[in-house]
Amino acid sequence: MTTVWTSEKVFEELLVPLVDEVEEEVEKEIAKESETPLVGEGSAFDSLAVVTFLVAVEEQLAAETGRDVRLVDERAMSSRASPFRTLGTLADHIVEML
Amino acid sequence: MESQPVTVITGARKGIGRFLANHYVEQGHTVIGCSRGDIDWSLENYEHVQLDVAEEDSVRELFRRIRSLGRLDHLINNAGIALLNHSMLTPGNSVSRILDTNVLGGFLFCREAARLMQRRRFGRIVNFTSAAVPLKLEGEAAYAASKAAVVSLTEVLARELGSLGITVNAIAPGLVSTDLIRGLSEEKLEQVLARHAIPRLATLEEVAGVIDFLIAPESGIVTGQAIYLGGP
Repeated sequence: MTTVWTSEKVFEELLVPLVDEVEEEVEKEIAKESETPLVGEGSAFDSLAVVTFLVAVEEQLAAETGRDVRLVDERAMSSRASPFRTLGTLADHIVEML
Repeated sequence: MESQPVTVITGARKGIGRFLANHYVEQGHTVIGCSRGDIDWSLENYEHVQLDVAEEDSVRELFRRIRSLGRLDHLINNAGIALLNHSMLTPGNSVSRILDTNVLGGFLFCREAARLMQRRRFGRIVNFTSAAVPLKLEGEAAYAASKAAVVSLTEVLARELGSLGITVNAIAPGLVSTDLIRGLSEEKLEQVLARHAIPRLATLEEVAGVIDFLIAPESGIVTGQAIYLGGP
């Protein structure tokens, strides 16, 4: 049966476990909420942590769906409302890409 | 038991790339080589993939296969093409072809390699630049520009990837007797050699010696450097 990936499922099953790993790396607590900022003001992620986090998300997506998804494409980069603002917008973006 | 190191070499069909494939297989590495054309030779622990280094989908497919090996230690970005022509007589698509292979291809391999290497917080990337950059060789405007871009790429990637345990360096192999310099006349070759501190062709062993140093585990603090053989 094909798994249906909703934003909630992506957030809980994919992003939260990887945020746990980032917490260890940056030695800071990160709120596992959809409003938690990923980039910009108030983000607990340093710039390298964002990059390694997104690569880890892509790898996990490949492992779970068998699809080689790249989250950063020209459309995402040129979008006025960046899909990488918060964990929640990232989850929505992932669902769109799947 | 730890698996053997995995080394990717681009442009491995002939010349320096083929020599390095043999050299690192002999040192116990698993070597994955690639080139546009097929090979008429084989080696144990060597796998060859036919692709164009500037085709993003093919490069990603190659690295998906490498991922299944569980590790990637070294990338030797040797693939490159040269063009000897006065700028006023150089077609735009020749320039595009050079930039695609030497710059875009090099970039794609660095990017995909770094994504795998960062998982183990270890990696060594060696790019290929050229004496044409410091010598500002007439007749090689597009080629020299592409190889200058390789140096910039190397320097910036060294900074981006340093904290992930990945070093990025470049080597300019000097004049080595390969197809790449076949287009040079005897006179031009002599002129170019005369502008080097050591005015002779480099040997393949000398090129490998520098790469051995750059990829050694003990060279973890050597990054962002370009080493020019022969002292141009």
